[in-house]
Amino acid sequence: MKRYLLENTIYKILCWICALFTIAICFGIIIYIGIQGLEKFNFNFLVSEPNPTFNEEASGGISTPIIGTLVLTVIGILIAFPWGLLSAVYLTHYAKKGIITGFFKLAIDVLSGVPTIVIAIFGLAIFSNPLFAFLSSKVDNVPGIQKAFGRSFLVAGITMAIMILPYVTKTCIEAIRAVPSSYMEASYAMGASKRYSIIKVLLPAAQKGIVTAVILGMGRIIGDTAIVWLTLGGTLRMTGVQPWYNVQNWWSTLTNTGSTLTSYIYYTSPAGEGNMPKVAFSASLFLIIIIILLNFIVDLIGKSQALEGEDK
Amino acid sequence: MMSEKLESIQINNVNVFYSKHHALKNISMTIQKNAITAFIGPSGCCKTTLLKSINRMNDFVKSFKLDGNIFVDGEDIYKSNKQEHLIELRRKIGLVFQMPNPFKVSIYNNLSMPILEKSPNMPKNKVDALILKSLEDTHIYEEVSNRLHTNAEKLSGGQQQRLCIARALAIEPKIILFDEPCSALDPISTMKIEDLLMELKKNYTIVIVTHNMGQAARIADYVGFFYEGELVEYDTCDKIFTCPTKELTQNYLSGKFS
Repeated sequence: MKRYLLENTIYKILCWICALFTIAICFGIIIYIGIQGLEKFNFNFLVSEPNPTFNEEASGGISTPIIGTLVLTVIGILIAFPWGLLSAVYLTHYAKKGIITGFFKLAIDVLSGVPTIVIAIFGLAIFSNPLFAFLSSKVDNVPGIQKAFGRSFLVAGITMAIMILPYVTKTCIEAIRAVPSSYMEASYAMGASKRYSIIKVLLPAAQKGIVTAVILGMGRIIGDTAIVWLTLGGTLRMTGVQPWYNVQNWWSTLTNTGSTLTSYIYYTSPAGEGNMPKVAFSASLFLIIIIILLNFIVDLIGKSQALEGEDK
Repeated sequence: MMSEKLESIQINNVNVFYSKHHALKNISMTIQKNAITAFIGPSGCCKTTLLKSINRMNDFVKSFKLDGNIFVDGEDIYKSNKQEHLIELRRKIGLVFQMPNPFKVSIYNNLSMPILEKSPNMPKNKVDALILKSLEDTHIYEEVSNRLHTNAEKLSGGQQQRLCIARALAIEPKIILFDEPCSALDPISTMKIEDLLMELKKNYTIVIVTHNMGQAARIADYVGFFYEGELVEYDTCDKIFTCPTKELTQNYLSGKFS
């Protein structure tokens, strides 16, 4: 056999093996978690509250961690989405090109590179300030100490918003940049103001990318652990006034601590206090299903016709 | 002969600079009301720059600078830089671009958006009447009447361009500028748009930039020939095409350069 043919074959086999391993690891993790998690995974597990116990049989389910993840996602997106979108509009259509925009872009890049544990510690430091006691609770009965508790769903949600802000802003900038400039020109040429052109012409045309930005942000919030652990704390149950689901207790629930899927997994894993691996795998299975669904939705949006400007 | 007709746009000693580049050199011309005026000339001779200066769409170019005056109905359009002045101006002077650029919304909304932006409190039946009228004026109504609420980007290129003309008509301007409106279209769509322009000149003043000399000969009443930023010759269409006075014009029209 000629030498170059042999080299070709070796190269091809090397690439093939690497690709195969990548796929195998990905599916291996999902299948392993599926097998381990399915044992405890049933409807009851999803709708019952967790119990802080070592007894795997009495450990309850993941209803409040699911709610916790949902609450953090909603708070984070509600804050980060308008904030990020408006920043992106400013950077693309109002800011003069030069030092300021360069500085903004650098800030966004740096912020997106900061590890979430650092953002978490920052959030905790800021929201422990007694000024922000209304977001969590005041530390009472400790003489000489004037500070807020600094851990609650609100604090964690706001910190999450700061964490995803650079990603949301970046993705929105890309979405806005992808809109051909002829759209804005057409709008100006018909005598529309800048504000109108942006709201009615530019943003609808960038809709797909903006929705993708929101979903990517959701994925990051759902998957984050460091911020939850530091700013929401390690309690399994909702610690506000009980029952937490009554409307009059909602504010109390939000200003107190609880758990999310990720902190629940940590708690029940062999590394945490609970040490109930089977329950941890069941919760992981649920988490992975959510993440896969979100990715699937992003994919679907890319191909969808629903956001293509048809009237309903 | 020109002075018998009403003047619509008066361009006086206009010089345009892009940074240091002297793009338009001392242009003076009078554009007549309810007629089609065509700007012809080789690529890069700044015909489009002059066209877009008439409704100040060049203002978005950072390095753009204009000296001289452009009067529209006796009013100097460069006298003020206020936002409302620019908006009023662009509502009076519509612009149709080279590439069809409908908004990424339904056909209906493409037309209702400019109308409602201009007069936000207009009742729906009046809006609908205006939309119907501009669609009929552009002869596109029969083709789209059954799909007014589908995305405008699904139309063919020629239909999209006529929709863009309808969008310009919807806010009832006085002057419409066309920047090579047919260069991206097939011959049949081009013919439809040329017919349309001939009809529109009854009610509107039309200025068109074109690379297609045949098109200028077919539809224009007046033709201005531009070369390297200068207005070489400007006269009625017949005169330019039958007995141009400048050699440069003759050479261009006979295809010696392009």
